[in-house]
Amino acid sequence: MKAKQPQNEAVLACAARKGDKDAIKTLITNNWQWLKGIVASVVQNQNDIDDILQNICVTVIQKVHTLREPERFRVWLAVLAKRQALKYRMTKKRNLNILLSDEIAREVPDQHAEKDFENLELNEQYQQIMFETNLLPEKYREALLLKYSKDLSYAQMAEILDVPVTTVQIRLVRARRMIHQRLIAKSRSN
Amino acid sequence: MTQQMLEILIGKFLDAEISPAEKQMLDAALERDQQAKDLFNQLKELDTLNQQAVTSEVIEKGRSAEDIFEDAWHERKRIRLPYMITAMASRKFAAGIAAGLLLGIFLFNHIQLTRNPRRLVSPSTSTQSAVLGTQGSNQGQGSTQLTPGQTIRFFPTRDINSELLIQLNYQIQQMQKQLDELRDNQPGALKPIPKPDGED
Repeated sequence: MKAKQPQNEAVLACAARKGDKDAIKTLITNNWQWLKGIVASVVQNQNDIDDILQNICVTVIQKVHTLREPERFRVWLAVLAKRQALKYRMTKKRNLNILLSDEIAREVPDQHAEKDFENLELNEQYQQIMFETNLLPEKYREALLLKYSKDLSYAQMAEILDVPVTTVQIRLVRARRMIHQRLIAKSRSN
Repeated sequence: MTQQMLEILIGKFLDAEISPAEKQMLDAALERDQQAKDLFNQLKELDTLNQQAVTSEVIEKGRSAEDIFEDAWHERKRIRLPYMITAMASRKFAAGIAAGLLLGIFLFNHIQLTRNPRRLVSPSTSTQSAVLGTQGSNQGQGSTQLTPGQTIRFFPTRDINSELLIQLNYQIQQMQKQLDELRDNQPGALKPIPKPDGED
């Protein structure tokens, strides 16, 4: 399923600049999934992700009137989101697990297993994949999470990340290759 | 076909970005190479798992967008007041600094002028445009009118060419002499101008 960019996003951005609450809300909810993907590429804790998303919402509400080009709302939002996430990580650096250590990663499936007995095996696979994803270099992790959070096209991802389309393509290929190789190495060692 | 090229084509296929020509190339590679086919199947399975994992562990977890937005909307009102106070305080602080600086400059100049009147003289390097102050009876009057018998003394500063001052003094002395002579010859015509009553 391809994500459709709302045609009236620039119109909504214009209305949002004037302080229209509904316009701001629509803009944020339309872009919510990939926004979450970007934040999740910086921090892994769910509570922290929610806190950061709320900070992003507050900042958008306060600063949307400074948006110069309404047609580039997504780029503006992506930059703002990344900045907020990095700022949050800096302030809570000691308390956060920026990259999950092996020890913590082993604990996570157990915690999750307590909650979902029925889908234990599947959940373990998800946890394993998320663990490998979190071990990726940040730019690859960001591209991968952005891709799978809202199945964006290469062009849309390039717009959000402000990089060429080919860069997006290469980052995704490398991210997949790294995860694939690590999973194969683990299955062989087991 | 290289391994990297194969991975790129598989990636494009998985992301639904593959062109018909590239799809043909990929199909041909998969048909003739069993290893490529295995890689394709593994990456396809990984892609499905990745999609499900991100949806399950990231997208579906946490609070909804609507809830977070409403909280943020209410929090905005709470944040706005301290923000405005901070902004106003910083402006006031900047205005205070500027006012203090101006007052300091004014006081510094005032003290300098009071202590050393020679500073009144412009420090211009051009002696032609140098302004001379007066001393004695004419002090503080700016431009003065010469009257017969009146002594005018210029006091030089270090900044003015002393030769020019000497010449000026000499010319003034000559003018005074001429005035004295005129007064002596025609005492009725040139008398010192009497000062009005009550004026020092």
